Parts: sequence; structure tokens; C-alpha cells
Amino acid sequence: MATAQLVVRIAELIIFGVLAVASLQRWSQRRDRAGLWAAATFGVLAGVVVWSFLLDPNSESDVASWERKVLVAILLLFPYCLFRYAAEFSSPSPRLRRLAEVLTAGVVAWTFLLPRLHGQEAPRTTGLNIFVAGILVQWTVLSVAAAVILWRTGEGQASVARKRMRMLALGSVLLNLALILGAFAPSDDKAAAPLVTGLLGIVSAAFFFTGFVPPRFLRVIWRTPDSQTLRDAEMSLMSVLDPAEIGNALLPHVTRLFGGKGSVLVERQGDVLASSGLSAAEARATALVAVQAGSTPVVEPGLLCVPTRNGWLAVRGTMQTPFFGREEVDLLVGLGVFGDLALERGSLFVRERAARVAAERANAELETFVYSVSHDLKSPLVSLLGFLDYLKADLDEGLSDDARFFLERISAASLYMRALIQDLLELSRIGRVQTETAVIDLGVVIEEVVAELRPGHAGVTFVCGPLPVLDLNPLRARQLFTNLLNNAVAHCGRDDATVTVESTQDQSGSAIVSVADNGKGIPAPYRDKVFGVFERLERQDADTPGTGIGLAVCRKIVETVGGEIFIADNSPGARFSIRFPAAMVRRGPSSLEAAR
Amino acid sequence: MRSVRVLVAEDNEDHLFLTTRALEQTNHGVRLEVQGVRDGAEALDYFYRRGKYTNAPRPHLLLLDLKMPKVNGLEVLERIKADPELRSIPVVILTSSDRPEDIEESYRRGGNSFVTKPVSPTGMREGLRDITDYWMQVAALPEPPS
Repeated sequence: MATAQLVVRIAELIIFGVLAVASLQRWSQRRDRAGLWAAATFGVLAGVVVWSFLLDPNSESDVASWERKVLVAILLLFPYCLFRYAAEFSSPSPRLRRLAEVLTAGVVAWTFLLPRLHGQEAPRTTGLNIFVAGILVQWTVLSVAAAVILWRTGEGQASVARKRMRMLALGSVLLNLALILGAFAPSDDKAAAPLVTGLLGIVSAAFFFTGFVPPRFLRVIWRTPDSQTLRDAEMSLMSVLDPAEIGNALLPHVTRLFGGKGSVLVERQGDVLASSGLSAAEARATALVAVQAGSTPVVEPGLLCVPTRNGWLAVRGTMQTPFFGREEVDLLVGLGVFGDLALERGSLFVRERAARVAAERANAELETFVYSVSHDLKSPLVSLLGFLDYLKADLDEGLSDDARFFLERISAASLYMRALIQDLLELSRIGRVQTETAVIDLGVVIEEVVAELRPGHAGVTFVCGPLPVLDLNPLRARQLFTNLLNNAVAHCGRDDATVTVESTQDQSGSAIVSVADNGKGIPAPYRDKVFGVFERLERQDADTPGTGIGLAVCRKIVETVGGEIFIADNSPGARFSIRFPAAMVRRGPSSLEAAR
Repeated sequence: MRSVRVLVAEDNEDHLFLTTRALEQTNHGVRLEVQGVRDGAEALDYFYRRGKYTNAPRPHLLLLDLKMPKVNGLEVLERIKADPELRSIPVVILTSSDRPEDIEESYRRGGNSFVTKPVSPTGMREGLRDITDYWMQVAALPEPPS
């Protein structure tokens, strides 16, 4: 039993010693009043433990008696120091403060007024018992007051700060319990009571220790509930794009996670991008520290600041905020990355939006331009053609063959120009003019187009498979397939061509309509090019008509309704395929087939 | 043979010539007196008998281009249709535009018809013949204000 007691006392000695050193070290770093009272509290406790360990418990000399008195007096300062430490977080009422001072001064004076303090072996007198009761009252009142203050201070704080304050509160209650137990233990109990008292002391010291300088693993565990906060922060960052909004979404979570007073997001130039929980002056001051620190993290009592890709992220602590350590730096760096990603996504979005708006504007301007230009070009053409007409009518008889040929060429060129202008106008109109859709049977449209084409192309065979029913502007549908079929018969390079129009439906419900011929085809390198304005694969002459706008018109019609047009492989010949989105398809080609 | 006065407001000299010539070649059993003005301001001078048009007779019909310098066709149209004395004169908008907004605005301001100029000479001639056919034979023209 004696060995166990010795072990407990040595353990007590070590743990209280470490606690005193840690609190002193912390005070030397922070130099604040709370730190001073903490250092005093644990310094007193460690001093008492060390001194009592060295003291002979059974010596009855005068010196030993006085030593005991001094020791008891110092011990009585412990709850007072603890009370003052707690009072630094939240000021108690003046009455409570006065009571603490009077009680402490009273019991300290009483200690020295006692006739004599005997060793452990001596029986307790009534006077001594009354004195012990007095001590208990002082200890209990002050310890409980300190515990209540500490506990309450932790409420509403982040998990780390809250748990830490509760550890300190529990420590002071347990130490008080140890004292009460020691005081009420029967004096003949030589083994169990001192052991339990000692163990309680150690446990309370452990609580004080974890509350005062929480070890890394505990901080991590305490922070676990806050990882939900972290996920919330991540989620709220997904939906914001403006830098200030990003700050507003991120910073409250940062502050909460660290149990700090507030936090600030500083941009690369050193301006405060956003802050939370801090006054404008505090935010600016923090930004200044960040800029001065540059690319090195700042780990100071009450301030943690890390560089990010777009500036800095800093947290300011309160008195309850535990000491910032390595893993806090890592955590803040991680949060900084969140912020960076959000900022970069935001700026990317803003740039993309600006580019899109610019492109749309440029497109609209271009269409207006094309319209005005082609419109203005029409006017001189009207004059040209009008006068040509009169010229031919008036001079027809007297013209030489050469002159007639020249007039014919002028006429043909003017007519070609008219076709170009009209096609350009048509192209610009597709984007500008909203057209209403109707339910159209593509089979009927193709029949009409083929009927128009057939007289001029007697040798061409038209084959038409089942075709879908679409929601499309009838005029545009007609224009689209007239251009495609015209293109097929005009450019396939043979008079006995076979032009096939057929359709399939893919899994998404889109209808794919193809116009294929068995002519010379379009070489792969030109397949994208042919949809450009004025793009032609052949020389312009009488055999190959067209303005080079027809396919551009087709693409624009198809893209305006959200579809796509492309040239698929088809050997021999060319195959133009159009994908009409599922939303436009009223009835697929296969169901039509079944209906027929 | 009764004579019908047609005023053509057209800034393009060639178009004015071609329009006038095409109009004169129509034959409806009436004598068409075609007068041309080269912009909106001149058209208004003609109607309000200002400057060289002090003694100009009021036309039976106005063929009005939209895109003209100084005062454009729509403004001329609005002025005429707002004037109690002049508003009975039918106005045919004859323009190269076919923009829906121009069509809408022309009728809104009281235009009596809107015709897009055909590009081909034949079309132009036929179009003008159709216009005069309508106003000289199908529809009844009011007597112009004195």
C-alpha cells in the first residue's frame, strides 16, 4: 500500500509539475492576464505538491509546524487563482469577487493564527476540525464558482473551445472533491483515503492538462462534429461565385471550426476580400500581418494565418481559443484551398459569361450587319437589272453578237449576285426571325420537294424511307430539305444518281434523317468546311449552280432548333445526316412505318 | 381621259427613274401624272406647298419609300396621317425592306399597303402594274384635298 501511495504521489508530482511548466510557458508566449492567473494557479499547485513531498509528515518541530502553515496558506491561494483565471473569461459579480477575496484572506489569516499544525500522526483537535471546515468552505465556494464560470464560457463556442473549457471546469470540481475526501477521511485510515485522494488529484490534473494544452489527438477528436460544418462550408461554396459571397459563405465556418473570434480572407494585393466576426479595423490589421508574413504561415497566440493561391486566410482567436498548432495550420491551409477553388471557379464563370455575352453580341451584330449590307446591296442591283432590261429591249435589234454576249454575261453575273444576296439575307433571317413551329410530316415535305426537283432531273432516282413527324417550322423544313436534295442532285456528279432519304431513331429518342447520294462524295477534309458561308468545292460555272450558302443555311436551321447536321461516311457518295432532338420528335420513323 | 396624280417619294435616282417609267407604261385608261420627290423633307414640302412646290396640286396616291435621308418614310407617313386634311390620301409603302417590324410600323402609322420592291425588272414592272391596277381599277380613289 505504501508503494502504491508513493507511486501516486510521484505521478502527482510529475503531472502537476508539467502542468505548471506548460502554463508558465504559455503565459510567457501570450503575456496575457488569463495566462498569468493560469500560471499562478498551476504554479501554486505544483509548488505545494513538491513542498509537501519533501516535508516530513510526522515531524513535530516548530519549523515543521510553520512550514505546514505556509504550505496550507499557499494551497489556499490555489482556488483563488483558479477563480481569478476563470474570471478573466467572464467577469463574475462584484459580490462574488469580494466574497472570494474575504474568504481567502480569512482562511489564510486563520492558518497563521492557529497555535500549531501537527504532523499526520497527531489526533485532530476540535479547533483544527473547525479550521478544516473553514478551508473546505473557501475551496468549495471558489472551485464551484470557477467551474460554473468556465463551463458557461464554453457554451456557444466551437467544439474545441467548448470542450476545453469543460475540461477545466471538471478539473476544478474533481480537485475540490479530492480535498473534501481528504478532509473527511478518518484519521486512522492510513491507506485507502490518501490513495483515492491522490488518484483524484491526478485525474483532476489530467483534466486541467487536457483543458489547458489539449493534445493533438484530442483536438482532432473534438473537432469531429465540426467536420459537418466543413462539409456545409464546401456545399455553400458550390453555389456562390462572387468573391465577397465566397468569403461570406466560407469565413463563418472557418471561425466556428477554430473556435476563433473571426476570420478574414485577404486578396493578393493585401485588400480585405471578406471578413467575418471582426471589425473593419481588425480585419485590416490582420491583412497587414498577412502581407508582411508573405508566404510563411503565421502561428501566433490568437492569430493563425496561411498563404493561399489567391492571397491569405487568417483566423483571430479569443481567450477561449486553444493554442494554435501544426494541425490547425494544415486545417486552415485546407480551408484556404476550398476558398481558392471557389474563387477560381467564380472568376472562370465570370470570364466565361463575359465571353459568351460578347460572342452573342458579336453574332447579333454580324447578323444585323449581314442584313443591312445585303439589303443595301439589293438597291444598286435593282437599278442594274432594271437598266439592263431596258437596254436589251431598246437595242436588241441593233446589237452585234459580241455586244449581246457581253450583255448576257452582265445579266448572268447580276442574277448570280442577286441570288447571293437573297441567300445571305435568308441566312441572316434564320437567326433573327423567330419562327413558329407546327407538326409536320417529313414524308410529305420530302414528297413535295421531290415533286419540284423531278422535272429538272429526269435521270435521278429518289428513294424515300419512313420519316418522322416533327415539331418544326414548315417553311424551314421545306428550305432545309430543298437545299439538301438540291445539293445532292447538283453536286453528286452524275445524271443517273440515286438520292435516298431515310431515317432512324436513337435511344435518346432523337430522329436522325439522312440524305444520301451515290455520287462522287465529299472528301473527309472538306466535310466541316462545306457548311461554311460561300464554301464551294467546285468552280462556279453553269454546270454547278449554287451560291455556296445553301448548306450554311441548312446548318443554321438545324442548329437553331438544337439539332446537329454532319456528313457521315457513305461509300460511294455523300451522306448528310441531321439529328433532330427528341423534344421535336412527335412520332418516330419506326412507329410511322408500323402505322403504314 | 381622267388624270390621276401619283407622287413617288424615292431617294435613289435610278429607282425613281425606273419606277416612274414603269408607272408610265401601265395602261388603265387613265392618264398617270407621276411626280417624284427625292427625300422625306421634299415630300413634306410638296404636301405643304413650300418652296418650289407652292402651287403643287395634291396627289391622288403616294408611293413612299421608307429609307430616305433627312425625314424618313415612316415620319412622312405619320405626318400625313396625322393631318386631317391630308390623311385621306392613300399611301403605298414601296420599299426594299421586308422586315416584320417595318411592315407592322407602317400599318400602325396608317399606311394603306406595304409592298416590298421586287428585285427583278420584270417583277418590278409587274408589281407596279398590280399596284396601279388595284388603285385605278379595283379600289376607288378619293378625290385629293384641294
